[in-house]
Amino acid sequence: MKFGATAFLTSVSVSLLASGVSAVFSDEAYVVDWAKNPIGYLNSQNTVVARGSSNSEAIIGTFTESSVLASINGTDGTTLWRRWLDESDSSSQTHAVSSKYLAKVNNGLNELFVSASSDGRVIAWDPITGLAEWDISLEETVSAINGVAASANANTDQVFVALKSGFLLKLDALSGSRTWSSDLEIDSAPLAVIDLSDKVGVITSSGYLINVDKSDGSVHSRRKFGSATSVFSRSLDEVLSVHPVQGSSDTIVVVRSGSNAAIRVVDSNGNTASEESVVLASQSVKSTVEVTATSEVVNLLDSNIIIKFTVKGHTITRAEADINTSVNAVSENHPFPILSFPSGNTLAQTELGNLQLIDPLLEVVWSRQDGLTEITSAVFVDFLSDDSSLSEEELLFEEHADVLSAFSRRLARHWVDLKYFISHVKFPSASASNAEDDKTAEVPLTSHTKTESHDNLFGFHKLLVVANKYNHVFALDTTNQGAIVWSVTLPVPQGSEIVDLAVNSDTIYAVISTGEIFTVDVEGNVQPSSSILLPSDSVITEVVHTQNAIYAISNESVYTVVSSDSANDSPATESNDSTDEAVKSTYHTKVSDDGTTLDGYAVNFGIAEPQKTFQYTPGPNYRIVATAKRSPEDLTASIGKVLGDRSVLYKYLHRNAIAVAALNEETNTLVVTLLDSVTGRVLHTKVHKDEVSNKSPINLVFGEHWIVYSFYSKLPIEGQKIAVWDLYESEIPNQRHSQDDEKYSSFDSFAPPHVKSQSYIFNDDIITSLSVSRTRYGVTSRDIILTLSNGKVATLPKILLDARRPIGRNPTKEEQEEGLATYNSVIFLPPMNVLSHSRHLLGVNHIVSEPATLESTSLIAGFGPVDLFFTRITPSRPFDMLTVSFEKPKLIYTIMTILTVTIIVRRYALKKRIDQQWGVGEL
Amino acid sequence: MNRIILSAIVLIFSLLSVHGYTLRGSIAGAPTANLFPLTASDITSTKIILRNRDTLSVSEAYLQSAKGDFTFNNVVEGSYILSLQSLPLITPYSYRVDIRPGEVEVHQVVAGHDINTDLGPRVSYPIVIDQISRPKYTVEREAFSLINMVKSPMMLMSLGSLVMVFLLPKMAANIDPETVQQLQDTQKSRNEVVDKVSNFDMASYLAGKSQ
Repeated sequence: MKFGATAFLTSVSVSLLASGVSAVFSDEAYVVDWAKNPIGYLNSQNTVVARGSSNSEAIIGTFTESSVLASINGTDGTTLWRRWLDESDSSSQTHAVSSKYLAKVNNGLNELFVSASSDGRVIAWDPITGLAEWDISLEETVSAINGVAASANANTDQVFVALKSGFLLKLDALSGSRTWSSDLEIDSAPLAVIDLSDKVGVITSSGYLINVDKSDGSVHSRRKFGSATSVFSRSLDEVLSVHPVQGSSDTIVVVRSGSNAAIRVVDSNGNTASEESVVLASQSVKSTVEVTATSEVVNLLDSNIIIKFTVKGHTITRAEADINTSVNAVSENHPFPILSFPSGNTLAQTELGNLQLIDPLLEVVWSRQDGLTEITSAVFVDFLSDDSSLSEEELLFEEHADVLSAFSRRLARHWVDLKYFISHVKFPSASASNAEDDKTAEVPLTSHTKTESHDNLFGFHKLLVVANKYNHVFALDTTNQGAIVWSVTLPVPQGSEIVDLAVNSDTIYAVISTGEIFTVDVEGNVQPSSSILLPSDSVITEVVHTQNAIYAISNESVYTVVSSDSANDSPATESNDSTDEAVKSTYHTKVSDDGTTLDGYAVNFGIAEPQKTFQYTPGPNYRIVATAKRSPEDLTASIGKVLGDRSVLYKYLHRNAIAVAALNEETNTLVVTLLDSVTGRVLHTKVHKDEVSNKSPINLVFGEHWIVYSFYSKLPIEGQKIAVWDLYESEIPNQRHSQDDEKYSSFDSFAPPHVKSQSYIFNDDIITSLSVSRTRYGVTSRDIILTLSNGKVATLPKILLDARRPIGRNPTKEEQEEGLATYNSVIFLPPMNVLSHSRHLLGVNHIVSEPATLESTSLIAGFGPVDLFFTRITPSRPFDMLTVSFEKPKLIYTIMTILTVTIIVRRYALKKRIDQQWGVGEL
Repeated sequence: MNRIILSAIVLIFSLLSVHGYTLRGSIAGAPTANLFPLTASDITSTKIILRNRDTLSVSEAYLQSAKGDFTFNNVVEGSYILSLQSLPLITPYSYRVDIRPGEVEVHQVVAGHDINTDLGPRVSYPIVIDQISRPKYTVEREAFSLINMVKSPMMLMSLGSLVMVFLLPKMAANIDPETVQQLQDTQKSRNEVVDKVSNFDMASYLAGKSQ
């Protein structure tokens, strides 16, 4: 009977754990989680202004460098809508650079934004609703687009699209249908389409200006754009700006040819009025034209320096006062102008991406942060906590010193801590944000987002430090809606980028591809730390974190230690936990550049050259598409899985295991292999001859003793699959091959795993990445975090994918106790598993997970080419925390009421008892 | 009459040697879902995905009107899966679209069913992505409510019996003693009959013994 009750309780608790999905509660949505939805860096060529049909407010349309097409309310800077028109190839999972074009047209009824991308898709968008009014596919590479007035005085516009193949198309602004197409008979690509009253001019990369009749597409004239000596006569790389001069029929054209930029004023016949050129310091140059009361000012942005030219009538003058470059560097105080409004307001963007509308008195009308985009790496860092002197060293000292000295040291420490206690009592909330110095002023703290002191205590209050491809590093406060605590630009050499960020204790290391390493402390102070000497054609490609050290690895597999723990003299080897003491090398695996092999390297410290130890080739025509290793920081709380009958299946916890997924693109076969990362020994392999798609991402994640991967295949049922391998030491419960405390080497003969595998159909959008939640001690069950192509970040409890789910029968009582349900081939993603709930995230395809101080909680950050998202999850429910709805005052009131009643009743009870003893009241 | 409905396909202009069909469709909500009017966030976070089942390449279409129309241009002959990709809108269906010269055949596919062998009903062209509803991504936290607690059947039953425990003795006390006596007598005699029936001794009866 007693056993029955225990079994029931166990089954209840297990089923609670199994169903312990951390649903997003409506009172926590938008409070605990936050997201940054930037649009990226604007380019004046792809930024246009429309006026809304319902009112006279200006609407800014832009197609940014991050491929985000956005419509912004010009009055207050709010995003009306945005779309990510990304053309990157999802199978290679690289972010392709694509050309983007945007124009504005008036179709007689409405003003529309017309976007064109290099794949030939031309779409007209409603500025307010975001509806695609018309949508055509030219299936040809677009080189330039312009919305041009139908005739000199017409209100309606026509869309002119220049194709790379040399054709010019005229599209009807109302329907997108083609009016005519004209072969310009050019041998170089068109760069820009300019309006020349009754004609359009096409500027080609070979420096020609071709005048085409607007009505029938016939070529009027074809001539070299500039004189023989001018920049315009050379081969042009890009047209930076085309700007019609206000109040005249002239057009300002700014072009780049190699390291020269030139400005030219062109009249309505295409004749050149004047020209001015400048030698550039960099090739990535931007240009805008600002309109002032008397003149047009051309701004050239050349490696953060603005060069200004004034165009007055037909004369161009370089603004002499602007030679002082330090004043004109684009910074927080000197944003780069993007476009100017007739009202005199200017839209400008700072170096760190703050988009601002500035009025003629230089007051900022509105400002928004759009630079937190194209994030390539993210790490969590603890705030400097000086409100307690308890540290790891202190604990170690107390553990090893004799009782007396340990006690006296603790006493001294507590004496020092007393001041914090006093300040805590005096200013209860002040301790929460001690690390946020005056830099916090960048984003004001609002009352409802104020950091609560328990967030510090529970480890929710951390810095999320992110680096993006523009070499900016931002630190965001996790508990304060991602407020930017500090932001810095790393002085990275031109043409190089931040490979990765890594953290060791309180120091953030930013490893640059050219070998520089910058250290950034938690307050945002940057210091060049060291530099790795690399051969001329070698670059750092990867940063590897092990338990005690950080290594940078070059494309030639040369290791360098970025940082290692001083406490541990010999940096950890990859085979540290379970390897023979005699092995003193560090082992590393790397996918070869062509993706056909996985190579193993051994690095003996003191010997610079790494030694190749093994090469794993999945087979001919196979390309490695994903590899996954267990995180070195992932802890195991229990070495076995307790079954319903109290027997144990021992987990296969080999630290040196690596999972490799390789796809044969000819036979569409996917091979997943589990290898030993030191010796290259194949531990298990599985072949999916399922017509696996190479056009959808293949994702792989290694959890504690399992791997999960996803792929899209035609067989056996067409759709997206999610497969799991659960690795056990043996199929037989209570049988194990490894021994407690016994270290073994990868070179020893150890048993391969017993693999239980299962596949499911995942009935939701395409999975773009898989990740696993991580908690402090690894006791909490693990969730698989997915990012989906429809902009969701979602969670799947691992138990849902358990390979031991009974097939075709109901689970037995024992299986129910384990939380196993009958196998169902289809996995539906319940809406409550969507961590990002109603937030529409763009391009989030990486997840990092960090344990909080509380075991129940894991911090999750998602990032990618556009957006950034943060939330907290509790995979086994918040078992070590009171729920938000727990009403402490009510509990206290109840206890107080009961106490009061008890005291009152006690008097009566006492009186009654005495009366009884005296016989009072009895007859 | 299950005559195959031949649907009109508009052959759009040939453009620079690209031939293709235009595939049209719209979205429709489940009866209880207030799908229309579509909000700006519905429009901008919704795409319609057309996956070629042979090449597995994907093309996307966007909503083109407040009624939820969409168009795919330059679609070549072949078999396709059409599905809705959206955050605020979900549907249990995807559609298999087979485009042959002069004909387009559209079948509903229920999630998880084999698109080759287990097709749903054939639907008409232009395609209507049906049964769209709005999912609720957040969960209301169950707050403590006295009324809800009292309203539960278990609570009602126990409350009822509690009332009876207190009320019945009071009621009995208020009844006239003679009536009580009478009731008890009736009960007694009834019990006797019941006892007789339940303890009926067949053997004694057959033996002619009286009790």
